[in-house]
Amino acid sequence: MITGGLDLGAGVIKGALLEDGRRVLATASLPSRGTPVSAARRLMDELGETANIAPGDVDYLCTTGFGRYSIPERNLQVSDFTSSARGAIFLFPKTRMIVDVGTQASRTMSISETGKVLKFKMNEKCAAGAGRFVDRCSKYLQVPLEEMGPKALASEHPKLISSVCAVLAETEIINNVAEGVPLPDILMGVFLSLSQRAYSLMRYVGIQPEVTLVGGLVRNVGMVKALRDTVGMDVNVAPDAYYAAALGSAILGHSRLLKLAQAPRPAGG
Amino acid sequence: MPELLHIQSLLGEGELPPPVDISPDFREFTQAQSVEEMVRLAQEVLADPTFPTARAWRKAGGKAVGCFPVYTPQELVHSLGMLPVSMQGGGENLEISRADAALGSFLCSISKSTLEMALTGLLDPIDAFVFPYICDVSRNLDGIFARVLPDRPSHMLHLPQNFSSPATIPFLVAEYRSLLEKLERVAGRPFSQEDLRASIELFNEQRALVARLAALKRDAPWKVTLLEYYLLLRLGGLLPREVHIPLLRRALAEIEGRERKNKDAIRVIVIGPFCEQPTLELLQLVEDVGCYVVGEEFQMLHRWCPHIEPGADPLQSLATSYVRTPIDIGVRSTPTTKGAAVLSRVDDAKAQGVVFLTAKFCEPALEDVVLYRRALEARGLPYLHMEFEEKSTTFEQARLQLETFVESILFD
Repeated sequence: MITGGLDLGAGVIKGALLEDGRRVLATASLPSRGTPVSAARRLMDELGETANIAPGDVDYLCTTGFGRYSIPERNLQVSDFTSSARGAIFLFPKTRMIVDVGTQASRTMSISETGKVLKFKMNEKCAAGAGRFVDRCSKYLQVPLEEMGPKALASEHPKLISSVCAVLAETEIINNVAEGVPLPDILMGVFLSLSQRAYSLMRYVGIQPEVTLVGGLVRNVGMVKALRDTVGMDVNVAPDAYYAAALGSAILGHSRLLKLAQAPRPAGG
Repeated sequence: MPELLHIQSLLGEGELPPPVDISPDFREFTQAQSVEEMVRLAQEVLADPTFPTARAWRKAGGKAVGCFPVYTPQELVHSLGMLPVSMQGGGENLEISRADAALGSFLCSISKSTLEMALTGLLDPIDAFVFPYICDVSRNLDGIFARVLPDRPSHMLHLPQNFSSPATIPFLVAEYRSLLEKLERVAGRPFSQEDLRASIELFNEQRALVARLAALKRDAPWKVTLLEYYLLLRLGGLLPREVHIPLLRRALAEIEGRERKNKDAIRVIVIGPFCEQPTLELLQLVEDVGCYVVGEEFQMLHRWCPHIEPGADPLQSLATSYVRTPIDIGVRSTPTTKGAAVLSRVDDAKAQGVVFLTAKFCEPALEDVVLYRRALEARGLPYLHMEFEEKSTTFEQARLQLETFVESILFD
């Protein structure tokens, strides 16, 4: 059985194709650029080409993320928490806590050994606690997103940002630039600021190992270091954790298919 | 001469006609036959911040008394021939411009919207105000109202927090007498025990119908949506009770006869919104994502005491019923029993989880969440905590959290 998972985030759409809920056939992502539905369809085509699968061969499509209701072809939609939990436990079976710093929001959750969400918390109405803040810093500091992490690793005296609001934090960064604070220290200050907000959420949920980082910032080495330093313990990171929610959706789609096979729905039901 | 409605024909046996002639403005409510129609009327009333039911009542020559949440002995107001009107904030449509200058940003929405309404003339149909002392904000609103609306009486009602002292009931009776002194001046007529007995009996009828609806929502939640349930209850604090009672009776007859499918939804109790009110969209969302709300704290004014026997001294009976109520919500300081109380409510409702829906900056609600959480965690019961404000406009985060909560219970 082939199942697909689509994570329709605010900035990027990520997708995964799985065989029998275990074997990863393909993963890929595309920026949504304000047209999530057409981007999602293009992404499904791309995934199919990589896996050498025709569009009709996908038995079940499960969506998650901000735009989870926007895809008419979906069989089911699930929340980001539920999908990320299944994806994280698939990648790191001993995961008990998940941190997800997405474009729009940061989330933390504790999960059971089966990947069931036990307790969760997300930041509310706050860009300073989400990936959008990193985007804005990248634009202002004129450092491409993919270069921010490696540059931040050179920091010797990170300049912490005290403002709790993204707009005011930008002003603070402007002041730091004007005062001649080295760029790596400013960048690491940005990541530490994000990490501390994530840490507050983690404490609410109750910190327990193993901690796995998923979502957009998993590829950012600066963020990973900042989070490890802030939490004071190791944090699981893997390239596929970028696709955790999409993988989790495909896994949930597979378990739903199995259930449907056991108890088929009546015609027209 | 105003057109009179034949209210008596709508009332049950032994029920009193309203103390003033009901104007034609209530005809829509007296003639509404379907729950759908009642819900539409309720939504219209809530969308209008100018208190249309109080305006209609005054048009017929009556006086209206605004009652801030959570509990005011409305029977006292009614026994003096006045309409007790629930003041539960300005809702999502009210723009706050003047109250923000007077109140801190760390205060709940209802305090600001209530003051905004006072400053902008929206409370003109209300002749007097009662603020029960449920928190520091409500206490101070009384003082603020005395300054901004000096021509209309405002009263802070002290409600006891010591429920075992022999002095508690006499204290509350004295408080009620103090309130009555002001109400008598507004009504222009003296208090009488006989009138109070009659009012208690009328409110008993309303309480019994509300209890019947709440039991139905608990036992067969698929028969009535949370939105319908909430709006029917909310009308009970705004309409003349003589209009609400027959309306609720008609609604119950329809709801009890409904044949609806029991969905695959999880049973939850909603705790926290006993004062400030969430938007209707948020209430609808709770059930849209796959919950059945089988217990809650909405409109507690109708449910504080199941039944009050007026007795020889109805004022004493009213005070006793308040003190001895089994209701144990955030505005009662009972820290040692809160944990057991929430578990008992879960058990009674056969709930699978609890949704804490608390107003931002609501201290009574937020303090109790800590006690409730401890008890639920010890039992291994799932819960979700979300905060709301009156002017919430986007619900994506709320939806996400509610969906996750439901999925965490549904998926193995």
